Amino acid sequence: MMFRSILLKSLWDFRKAALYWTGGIFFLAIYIIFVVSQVPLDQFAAIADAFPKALQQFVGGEGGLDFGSIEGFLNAQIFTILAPIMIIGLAVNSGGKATASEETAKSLDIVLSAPISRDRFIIEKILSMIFKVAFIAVIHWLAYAVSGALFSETIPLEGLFAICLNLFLLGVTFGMIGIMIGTFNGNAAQAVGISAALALLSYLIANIAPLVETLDSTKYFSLFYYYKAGDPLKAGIHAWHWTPFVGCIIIFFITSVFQFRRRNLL
Amino acid sequence: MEDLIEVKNLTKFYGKIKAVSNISFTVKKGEIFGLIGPNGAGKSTTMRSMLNFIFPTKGKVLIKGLDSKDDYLKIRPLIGYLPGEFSTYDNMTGMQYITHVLSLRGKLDKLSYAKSLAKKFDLDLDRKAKQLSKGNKQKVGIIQAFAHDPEILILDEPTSGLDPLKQQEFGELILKSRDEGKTIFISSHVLPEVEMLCERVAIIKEGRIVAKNTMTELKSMAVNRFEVSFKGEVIEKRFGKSLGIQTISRIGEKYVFDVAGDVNKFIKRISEHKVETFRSLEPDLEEIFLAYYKKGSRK
Repeated sequence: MMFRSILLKSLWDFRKAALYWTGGIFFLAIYIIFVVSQVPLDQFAAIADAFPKALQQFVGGEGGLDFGSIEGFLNAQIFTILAPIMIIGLAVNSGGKATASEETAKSLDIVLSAPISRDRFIIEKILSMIFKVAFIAVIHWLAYAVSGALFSETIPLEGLFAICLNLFLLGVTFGMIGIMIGTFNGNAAQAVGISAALALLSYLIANIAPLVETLDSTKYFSLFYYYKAGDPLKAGIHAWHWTPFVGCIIIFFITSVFQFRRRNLL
Repeated sequence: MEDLIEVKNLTKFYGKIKAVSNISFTVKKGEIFGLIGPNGAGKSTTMRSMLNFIFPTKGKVLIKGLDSKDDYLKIRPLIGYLPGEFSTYDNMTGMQYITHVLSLRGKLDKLSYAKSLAKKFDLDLDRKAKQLSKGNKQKVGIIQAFAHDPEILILDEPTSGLDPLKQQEFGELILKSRDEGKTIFISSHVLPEVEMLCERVAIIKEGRIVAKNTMTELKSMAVNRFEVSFKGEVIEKRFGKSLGIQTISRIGEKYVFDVAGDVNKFIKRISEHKVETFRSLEPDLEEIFLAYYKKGSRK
């Protein structure tokens, strides 16, 4: 095991976890699609229609619960809560610990006593987080595409690609928040905790704000809103909705690199 | 000899808290230099400034004439560093860790030297870090600092956790490195070790250098200590402060005098008694160090 790069070492460390993630996501996808293939969707739709509209919106997002189609079913069961929790969990854990846990554990000292600049260190750590998140997003796409084919369920591949791409952007953005907080305080637990709390807040704003007319416009401040806005699983790519993610990622990236460059490493 | 490390008016404040204040010293090529002081005196801040981990509020550190802040990427290949709190990755074996560090430095060709050091220190490199004792982890830290054969070694509390035998091995390694022309900067509060290894020391107290000399000079500046036993009665009152005697202690039949003033006067007065044995005791670094520290606390 010889790594001249911090990125490669970090990805090598992820290899076992990657295997578990892949197994878990495939298992979930196969299980869900199998259930859909066995139970007529209109039965699910009848159950969902019985729920109050507010509850439908809270659980299924602004569009509510639509169990009448496979896209609606996947939206409600997977892509509204479960998949974001998984990808954000991985991203904030990887991001929050990127520099901060090495700083807390003091392993950073030896790495930075080698001829490696702080910029190189943090950029490789950011890339590592991005690759991990991309891996989970790709596995989601593969798992549902394969499961759909396995049980002869028609899942639109372009829509699946669009929601997985949004999932990737959502994960990277919260991962970058974790990295940025870590560069300010060097405390991994705080970096992970604060970024996870912000993700929860963002989810609540996106799903609760539309229930109250006066709060409705606050949804535009939530990244979760842009993640599901326009229903990408059904309608495909909405490139315009990437803007808040890309904007945030650029700002957090610059702030993280700048802050890590100027900080005293005690 | 060429000054390899130059610390010039180094000052570091954390907010309003002063960590080091206007300290200056130089370390010459091929010497072993010790920075001593208790925890929180500013030793680690000084060392971390040399590696550009901490940015000075004022002043600078030059290593081989290169600025530690502006030219840090040119400086780092020259340095082997052991931090005060060394930590490796728990999921790696010693061999994987050393290989990783040497790879980052682009010095994989030095792996066989690292293995020979591990053999010298009786370290099993195939065990994972989480299975290693504190002392064995410290050995990994020492090996990674020396492995790439650096010109300068910056070692913060290097023998922490090592047993006495390995401390001795470490001492031999340091002296061998010095003989090979390497420059070694050690910070420690294990004073006998510094006394044994270092040619020059600086004593740091509350962020300031309070003494900076060769070991010989430091000792000569210290209080002279004499152990005397007498035949017959001794009139203690006759050994007053006018003779420069700071303390008199009695251990059985022997008296121990700490004399700060003119030694001749003291010897003349002693000779007025029937002296049975007379021995001059060389002060050790610990006494010198404590003397500097007590000075400040009386203020």
